[in-house]
Amino acid sequence: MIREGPFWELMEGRAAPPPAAALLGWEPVAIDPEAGTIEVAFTATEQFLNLVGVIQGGLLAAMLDATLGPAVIATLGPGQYAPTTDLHVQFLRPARPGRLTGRGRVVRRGKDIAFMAGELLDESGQLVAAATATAQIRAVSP
Amino acid sequence: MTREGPFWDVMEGRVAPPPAAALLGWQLVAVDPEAGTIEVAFTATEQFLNPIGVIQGGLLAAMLDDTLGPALVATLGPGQFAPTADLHVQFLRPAHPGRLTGRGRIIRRGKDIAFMAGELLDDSGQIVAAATATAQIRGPRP
Repeated sequence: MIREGPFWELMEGRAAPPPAAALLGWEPVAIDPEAGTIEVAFTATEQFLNLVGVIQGGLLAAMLDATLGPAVIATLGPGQYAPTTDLHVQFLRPARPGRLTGRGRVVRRGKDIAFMAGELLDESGQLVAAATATAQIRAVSP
Repeated sequence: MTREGPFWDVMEGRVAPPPAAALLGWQLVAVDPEAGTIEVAFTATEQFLNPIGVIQGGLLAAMLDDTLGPALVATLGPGQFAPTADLHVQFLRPAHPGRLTGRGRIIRRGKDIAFMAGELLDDSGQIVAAATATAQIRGPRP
């Protein structure tokens, strides 16, 4: 597999993350497109706190989306993209500001659809949230 | 119904809105605790864009979480809170920077569990995402 294009520039630290990824403090950690797995990190800040004083669940969902999307994109060719159509998140434990790790994998991939699953862990390695997602695989219009 | 409790503390200026709500530009538009419905507005900024140049799906999920949660919290008593256990979002159309409207409702509420549903609309009234959520209700009942 040839590792070229904007996605690989991002994964290999040669390009700055897009705005939403930067907001979440997204950083690549490890990737294996042949296995369909990825590990990324996030920085949850005080800006992400909810009324109860823990990280807002929807922002954990955003981190999981930013884990599962790249897991699929890593397996695509140039000229393809994979909008997420569906995301299901279970909030397992409260999360606090600090570094969170996202682990994602492609569960099954067809020609035009992909199914992903993953988890978000806190600094002590405990699961804070789990997710599954479905994405369509499309060609960029010429 | 007495308007006490965490939601009304924010709405009536006794408590500052939480940071995550401020991040999303959350504003109350209308709320009807007896009917279990709410309408809120968000401001999607360029900071929320993904690599394709549309609002990152996970941040739309955050907006839906911040619609469905308040739909329930508006009906709680002082000392009660309602962590979301589960959030499922379908991404129906691409969303662009600007004002987004969240509409949420409680579908069914028990003593210690609640089921919500809602949608996020763009400023032309088109649905960009839909969601359902399940929350636990905790704390002393009024």
